[in-house]
Amino acid sequence: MFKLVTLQDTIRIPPETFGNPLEKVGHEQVKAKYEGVVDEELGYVIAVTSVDVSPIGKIIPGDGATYHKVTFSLLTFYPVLQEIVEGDVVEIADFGAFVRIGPVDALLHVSQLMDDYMSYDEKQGVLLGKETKRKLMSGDQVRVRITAVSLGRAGSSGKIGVTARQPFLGKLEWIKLETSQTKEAAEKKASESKSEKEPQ
Amino acid sequence: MGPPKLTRFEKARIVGARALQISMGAPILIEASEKYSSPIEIALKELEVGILPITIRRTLPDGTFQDIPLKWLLSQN
Repeated sequence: MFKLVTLQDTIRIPPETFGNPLEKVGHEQVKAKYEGVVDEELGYVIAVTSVDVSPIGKIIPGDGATYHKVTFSLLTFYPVLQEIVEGDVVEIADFGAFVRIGPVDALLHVSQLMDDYMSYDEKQGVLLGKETKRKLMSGDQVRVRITAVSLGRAGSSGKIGVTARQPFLGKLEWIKLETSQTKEAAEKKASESKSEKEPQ
Repeated sequence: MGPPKLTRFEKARIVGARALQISMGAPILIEASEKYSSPIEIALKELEVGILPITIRRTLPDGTFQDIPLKWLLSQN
């Protein structure tokens, strides 16, 4: 899920920026330090929204810069296990599909796509269910559940695994179909039990 | 707290810090001229003129401190 997190930190204001407005320089410094960072606690930091720099800084021996306390808000994306998310399919491979669920792409493995035998059409870039004839291609919108989260450590990028193999998950069209079918079934059942009662 | 003037230690600390800032590219707060050739000279002049926006924090060993504006210390003598 996306979160707005408010944090406190100390930032360095370099002396060459002394004439410029403090808020602007502070924003740049916080941005340089936090934006794009992937952290175990924060998740993916997307943007720095608001920055409040203390006007009083500290001059530390040995450095010409001043150090200011700063309070700022970050827009972050933190993938939570069991979270339901929607996204676009951005790439199809023989082993599954990549779903863009925010700043990152999650892997929807073929085995987690549907209860069917899946075949991959390399020419069209389409994953096809053998019996249901359901197709999945790049650009489709899907609703999936997050089943595995690994925020990468230094060097390796993180990986997110998702599943669509449960009722009311998958391509949005399939979900529509499924909901209308269950609704019909429920109505049928209701009218049947009604008609059973009436003769008595 | 402390003497009501700028001590030689404080003077050295301020001139040193300010000269380092200037050498690292901070804007100069006095009229630049050919007379001053080094950051230290400029820093000394700035201190003399009394336009540095610096506050001195005098700290005691027990952790208590007092913030004294540089301007006030300079105006005492």
